[in-house]
Amino acid sequence: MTPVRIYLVDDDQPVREAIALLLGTYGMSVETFADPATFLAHVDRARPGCLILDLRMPMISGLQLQQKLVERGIDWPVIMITGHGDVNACRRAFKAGVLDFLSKPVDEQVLLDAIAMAGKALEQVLERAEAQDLLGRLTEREREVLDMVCRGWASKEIAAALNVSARTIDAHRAHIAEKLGTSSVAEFVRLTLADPAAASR
Amino acid sequence: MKRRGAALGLLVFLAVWLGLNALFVGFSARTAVERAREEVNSNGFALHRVISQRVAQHDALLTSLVALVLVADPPPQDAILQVSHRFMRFYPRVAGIDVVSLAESGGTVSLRPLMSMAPVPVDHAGLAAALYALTPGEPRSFRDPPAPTHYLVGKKASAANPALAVIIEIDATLLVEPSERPAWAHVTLTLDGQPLAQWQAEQEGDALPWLPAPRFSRAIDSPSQPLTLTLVRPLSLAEILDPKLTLGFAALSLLALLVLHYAWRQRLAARRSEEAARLAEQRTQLLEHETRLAHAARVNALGELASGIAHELTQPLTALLSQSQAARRLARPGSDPSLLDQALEANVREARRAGEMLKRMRDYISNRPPRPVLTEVAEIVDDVAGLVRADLERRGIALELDSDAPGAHILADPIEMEQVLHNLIRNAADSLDGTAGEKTITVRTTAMPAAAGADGRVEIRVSDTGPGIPADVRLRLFEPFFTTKPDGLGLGLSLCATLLERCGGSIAADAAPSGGAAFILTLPEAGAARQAAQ
Repeated sequence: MTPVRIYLVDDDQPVREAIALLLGTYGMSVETFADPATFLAHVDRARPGCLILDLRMPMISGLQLQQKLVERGIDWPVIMITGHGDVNACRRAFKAGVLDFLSKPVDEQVLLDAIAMAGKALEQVLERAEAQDLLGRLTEREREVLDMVCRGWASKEIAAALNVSARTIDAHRAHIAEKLGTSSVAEFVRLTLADPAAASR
Repeated sequence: MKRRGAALGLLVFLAVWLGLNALFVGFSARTAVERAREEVNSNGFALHRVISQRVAQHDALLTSLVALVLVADPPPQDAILQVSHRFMRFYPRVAGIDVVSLAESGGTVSLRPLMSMAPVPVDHAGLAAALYALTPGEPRSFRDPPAPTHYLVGKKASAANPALAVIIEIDATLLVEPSERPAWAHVTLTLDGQPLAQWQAEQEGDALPWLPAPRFSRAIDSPSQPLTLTLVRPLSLAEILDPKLTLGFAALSLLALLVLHYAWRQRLAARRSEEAARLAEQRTQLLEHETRLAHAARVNALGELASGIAHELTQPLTALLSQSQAARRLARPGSDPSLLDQALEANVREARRAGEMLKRMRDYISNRPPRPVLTEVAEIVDDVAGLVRADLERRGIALELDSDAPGAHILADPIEMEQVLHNLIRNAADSLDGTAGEKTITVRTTAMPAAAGADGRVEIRVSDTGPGIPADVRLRLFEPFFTTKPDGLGLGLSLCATLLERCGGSIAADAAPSGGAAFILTLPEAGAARQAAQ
């Protein structure tokens, strides 16, 4: 597992320092922020990481911060930590798509498990973003052809279905392989499945 | 006021005493007068009877003399003289006895004494004619001008001309014997309205002119001698009022009144002390009740406070846990020992922080008696601010602290003062919840240095930018159980007032310049105590 980048936002300095130190002993790099506004000003889409947010903070709560991030298209996994085992807050957090909801004080193992899960979730998120990015380069026709390839159709069948020649289909496939950086059908399938747009199709 | 009451009490007391004595004097005087009247009457009747008897004797004498005169012609002088002599010896009041002859010729009556035991002065004008005009056998009295205390009784023996008549002279002063006459009375015997004999009372002291003297007056039962006996008893003050008895009563009544007054005062005092005891009991109960309420309010407030404290407490615990777990890992060989040191250092700090919080909470909820100590105002304000800040921030309310009294001290129970301040800030926050726009609570501490006639004071002003307090509500703010909150008990501010009064301070409601509410706590500055303590 590659070391995950972690962003910690908590208004209490001793808490920030403690968690940063603990996670630091596990070789994780933790960037700490005293308030959501500073984090928002600092956050960089190019440096993805897991978010550990305190639910109750001055001015902007952890949940509001998460929403603001989603609005900016950042949907990195969020671990919410809170001093209150408030059921309502917990429900709202999960509804909003929070990955985990931990109550303070947070035990080492629980936090590590959550971070591990978040790491996997982040990978998926990144994969999805990558797939979306790659598939976005295809033309509409190429995308159509790709979908049929993924369904296991042969070039002839596709050509018949689209009422074009098999050569044309082959040319489409060559372009697709070039754009996606692979000619493996298995890879094609993985990419289309990672794309949230494909899920609805 | 008290002196006036005492003077009034004395006046009433004197009036009652004087009234009692006046009643006693009136009653005893009346009794004395009544008794004197009865005495006068009984003595009068007794004297009347004696005089009547004596007067009747005169008639009998006349009758017997006339009988003797008529025995023979000329009358038997020896017998008459003898009878007369006897009579005069027995009855010294008979001053003279005469037998006279009355002759009428040409309208004038001449009188000639025939025999006389003691000559009666018969030579005054009119007597002869009057005697002659008498019906024989019917005696009649005449005044005797030469001797004003004597009177004459005459009786004609026959109707012939010349006629014989018997006259006796009576000394009226001897009609009453000294032993029979009461010494205390004026006694008067009158004939035809003219006084014959008068005896003055032997009086001690002056008669009272305004007091009608008891009087007895009665005509003697005798047709021949129409005398009237009059007894008048003049009464002196000493007679109707016994000075010893009066003084004795005055003293006794004074004593009795004093005793009564004392008893009444005692009873009043007893009742008053009973009342005071009852009030004290009530006050004690009220105080107990208040203390219980204060406890209840504290416990109630605890509910609200709990979330704030829990939030605060989880912070050090979170840090502690993570630091400890980090330290455990750092303790393994090959780790950076400086980091371990740092982690443990942080642990100590965080454990202390948590302990402080717990202590504050314990103090807050424990129902302990107030412990006034020298406390820095700024510390109280900071502590409360620390407690409420998280909650206020969550609610989007800014808390501003402002002080121009650094180092100001008060002598108060810091927990109670924190409670008061916490209460005020909570109220302010509640009032801000429903409002739009700026939400700020300001706690401003101002020192008011000692001036002439006033000790130094510290003022803590808690104001908000909320809707403020309507004037009619402001008047009733500190009443127990008065509340404008739907689920409020109405005890918060009343408790605040009680707690402040306990340490010599006061609380007042005002309007903030922004139109919001402002509460002003005023406490005596404990500068002097602080200097003494140093």
